[in-house]
Amino acid sequence: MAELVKQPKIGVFICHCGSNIAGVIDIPKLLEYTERLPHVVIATDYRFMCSDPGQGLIREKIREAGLNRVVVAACSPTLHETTFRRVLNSMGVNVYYFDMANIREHCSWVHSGEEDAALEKAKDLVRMAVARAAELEPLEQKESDVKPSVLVVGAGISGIQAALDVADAGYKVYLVEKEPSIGGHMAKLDKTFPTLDCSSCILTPKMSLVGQHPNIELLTCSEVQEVSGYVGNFTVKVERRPRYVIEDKCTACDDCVEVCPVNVPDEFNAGLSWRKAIYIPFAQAVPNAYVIDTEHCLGMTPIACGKCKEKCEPEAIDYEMESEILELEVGAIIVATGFELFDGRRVLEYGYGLYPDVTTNLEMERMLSAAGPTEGKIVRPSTLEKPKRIAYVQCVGSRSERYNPYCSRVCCMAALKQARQIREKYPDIEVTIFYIDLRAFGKGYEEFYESSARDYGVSFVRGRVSEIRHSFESDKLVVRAEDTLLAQPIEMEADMVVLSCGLEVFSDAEKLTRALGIQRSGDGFLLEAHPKLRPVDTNTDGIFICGAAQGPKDIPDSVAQAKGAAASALTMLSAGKVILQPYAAVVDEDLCAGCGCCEASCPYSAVNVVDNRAQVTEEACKGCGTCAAACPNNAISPQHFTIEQILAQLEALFQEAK
Amino acid sequence: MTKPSLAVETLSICSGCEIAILDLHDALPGVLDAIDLKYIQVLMDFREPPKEGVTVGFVSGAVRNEEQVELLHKMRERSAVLVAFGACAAFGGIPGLANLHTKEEILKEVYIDTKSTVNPDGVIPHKVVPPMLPELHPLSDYVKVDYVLPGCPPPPKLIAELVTCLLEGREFKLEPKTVCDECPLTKEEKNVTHFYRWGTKRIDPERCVLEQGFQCMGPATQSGCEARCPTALAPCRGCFGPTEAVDDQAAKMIGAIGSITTKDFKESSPDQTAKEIPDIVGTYLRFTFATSTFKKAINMGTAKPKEAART
Ligand SMILES: Cc1cc2nc3c(=O)[nH]c(=O)nc-3n(C[C@H](O)[C@H](O)[C@H](O)COP(=O)(O)OP(=O)(O)OC[C@H]3O[C@@H](n4cnc5c(N)ncnc54)[C@H](O)[C@@H]3O)c2cc1C
Ligand code: SF4
Ligand code: SF4
Ligand code: SF4
Ligand code: SF4
Ligand code: SF4
Repeated sequence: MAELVKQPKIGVFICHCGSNIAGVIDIPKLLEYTERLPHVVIATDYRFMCSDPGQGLIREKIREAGLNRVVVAACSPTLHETTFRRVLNSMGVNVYYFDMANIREHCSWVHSGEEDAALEKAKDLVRMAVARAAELEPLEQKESDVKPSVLVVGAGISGIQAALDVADAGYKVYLVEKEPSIGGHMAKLDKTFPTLDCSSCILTPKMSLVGQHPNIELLTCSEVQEVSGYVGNFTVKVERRPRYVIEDKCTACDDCVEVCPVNVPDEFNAGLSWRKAIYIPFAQAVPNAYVIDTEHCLGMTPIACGKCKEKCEPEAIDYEMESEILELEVGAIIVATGFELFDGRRVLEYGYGLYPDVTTNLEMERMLSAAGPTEGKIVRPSTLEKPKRIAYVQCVGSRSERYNPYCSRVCCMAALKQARQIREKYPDIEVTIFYIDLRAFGKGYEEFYESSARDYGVSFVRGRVSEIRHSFESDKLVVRAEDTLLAQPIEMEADMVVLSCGLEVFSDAEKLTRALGIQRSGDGFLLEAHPKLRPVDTNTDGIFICGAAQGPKDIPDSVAQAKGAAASALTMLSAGKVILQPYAAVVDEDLCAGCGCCEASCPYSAVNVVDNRAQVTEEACKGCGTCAAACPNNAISPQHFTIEQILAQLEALFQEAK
Repeated sequence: MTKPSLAVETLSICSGCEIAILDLHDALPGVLDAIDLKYIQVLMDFREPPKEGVTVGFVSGAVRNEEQVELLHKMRERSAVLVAFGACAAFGGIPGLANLHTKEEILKEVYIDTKSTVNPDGVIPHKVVPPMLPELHPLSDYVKVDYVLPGCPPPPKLIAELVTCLLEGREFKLEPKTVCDECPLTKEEKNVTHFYRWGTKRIDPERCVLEQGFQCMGPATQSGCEARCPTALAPCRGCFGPTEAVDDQAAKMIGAIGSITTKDFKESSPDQTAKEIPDIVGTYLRFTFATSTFKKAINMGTAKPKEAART
């Protein structure tokens, strides 16, 4: 309490950030101005405030001048708030007596070339931070236990790897996958660049480990519906759709398939072959159990059909199965929901969906696979004959203003890989890749490209394809492009065209991110907390992301991120406790009338009206302040951004800088 | 011992406040026994407050002309305790909405343009009537006010309580909570997707009317009336003004409306919600326009009254 009554003694530390800040803002002038602000007892500058000597300077001044509040005018608090809070802590000053004025990202970086205006803005920012600092109050941090379990959403290679790492460390994992089998896209690939090892050979052992791991509870045909709670203590509602086949009883004998009268295009083989209404997604599926596709099943009654049940000897088929809602308690969540292939039909001029011989890179993967619909043979879909020339069209849906501006990062290498495989099997098939730039950036990738071109005779044309037509005379496809190296238009006939469709975020990203309370970046993929320093964290504590869900990625990068996400979750779990920031909103019972406007506004469902008064669940509250804006009687306010603090900042903003 | 005395002055007002005093019913004889009622224009034929002064002065109505300024100052000088009585005296009330227009526009409308007026020469009276002020003001813009009794009109129960407090020398204070606190209707969930004009849709008599899509000002309005409007299934119009915890009732209510309509953007959208609230000023600033931030913005030239009225 003694600290409360103390007069604010504010020290302001202005950072040059090398030339990042000092190159634009006149630091001596800013210092001179800052010294005259109310409550400021000392203002000083340094080249790198976050460095050891910089931190030492703050310590020294706290000691010398008896500072009880500190303002650092430097970069963003997301970068260094923790750094400077530690300095305060080491000096016995409550860490919440600290504020940052962001004169780098918010000022020098965006106002280079307008030095005078930048100085004025820096003055405004510092004045506002000082005004808020004077209103700051000391707060106490709290600890909370961490539940020793992790939810992993999505079981492609990323989710599988993350689940295995966490489970191997001895913690319980719930692995939720919406499809009937785990494996994701990697299960559909034939071989993998740049080493050309067979995808199944490296993936399926991991899949079966998942299926057998005592610490992993695998939930297929399942999706996350609702998430509540907070870091260390999440409660997750998962809906498990009925499979109609009891996993433990099914022996995968295939008897049911023989009697099922319905044929459905097989999505696993990109619709290039058929499956039945009762089916197993692929031979090595985990769990190794069949599933009934109710959309195509004639009806699970003896009257409508019921043949499969009749035939199943182990009595594994149960038509009465229903959807169930499972409630899971977990300490951390890892999202590994992967990508969706760009729909080639959207580019009308390429004729995908119209001409059967225009295919996609993923379809080609299936065709190349010995376990695929053609048993590894390359055929023209329209004639089922061997093609003479195949053209690859790169960047379909990627690097384009019309579709996605970003590079999908795997399609160049995937095209090279497939081209090389084709040439290896059929040296008489010509393969030409139409590209804008060939991106071979990973370890061993450039070498792979060199050898594909040199040793396997793949040819390349630099230029974006403008149109694909079907020629009736030759019954071939005509690919038109501009060869930008020769600077002339080019037309080439091909028997088959493969579209290198890009990667887009998984289909129900909007629903899932809402349920989890995490954000997405402009390209639609999941947003990391910091692009360089916190690549697998999200802005919601305890929720991590990895793999292609975070952005287009190949397998090595996906696995690396998955391991990173698992390690981050494990760090939390093994610490056993998490620190909860004391930002939670508090309710003034004298003012609250229980109207419920705050309850309606809270994005984290952290406030509820109970007995006509608002009540905040401290652990769930993020201190975002939405409720404070909603409350019509100023009865609720987060603790580290109080109404007084914000008003003080605004008042300071509207004072003229003198 | 002489009885404490009371004077009631009436400025720009509908006289509903005076009727509310008479509405004390059973309590009235008791009050009249304890108090010497010296001056009240609805009952007595006096033209100004007693020169010898009174213990308590109630002033109802806002200040709209020069004579009222004079009367108000007289009341202040002659009353030991001065009470701003009712919404108009407290924050401008309904007549405060006239501040959306200039004095000239108002006079022209009233004396020339109204359909029932026959005034071929366009004469605007200026001799026998006191000159009108450019704007309407609440009492506190001119004099120090000791107590505020809001309401349009103040409920008799609160009048009796105020008088009792004054007689017994106690502080009179309203709890700074809002109408919802006293409202008997059940609050379930505030997820409003559409707003309706009152009377255009059946009302569930048990449930909070705001949740049913009627513009109830209860959440942003000072309590004390025992939620008399919502109790009768009519949305609160906000006649008690803001509580002491907030500066601007309308701004707060608009913020609250924003928060209860954004849950489900499939069902509602800001544009459509705005369309469903055709009269922003009449809805949120019905009683407080004269003292609102909005009005200040108009005076500072950052908002235009005409446009404000329309949007
Ligand atoms: C044609 C092609 C060829 C490629 N070849 C190579 C190669 O040779 N080498 C290489 O390194 N990379 C290659 N890649 C890239 C590789 O496919 C990806 O790096 C890898 O699949 C990413 O794995 P992931 O687990 O992050 O995502 P995914 O494989 O997409 O897995 C995501 C999983 O999450 C599930 N899921 C999605 N949403 C939900 C939800 N809401 N709830 C529950 N589960 C959900 C999905 O069903 C899926 O099982 C290729 C890609 C393509 C398109
Ligand atoms: S504190 Fe921030 S602004 Fe200063 S040197 Fe470090 S990174 Fe740069
Ligand atoms: S909005 Fe304010 S008054 Fe209404 S319930 Fe919430 S805290 Fe209480
Ligand atoms: S500050 Fe308010 S709105 Fe934000 S999380 Fe906390 S209770 Fe919810
Ligand atoms: S009806 Fe009006 S006063 Fe009553 S609870 Fe609802 S919003 Fe509040
Ligand atoms: S409910 Fe609202 S409008 Fe009705 S009397 Fe009370 S404060 Fe006035």
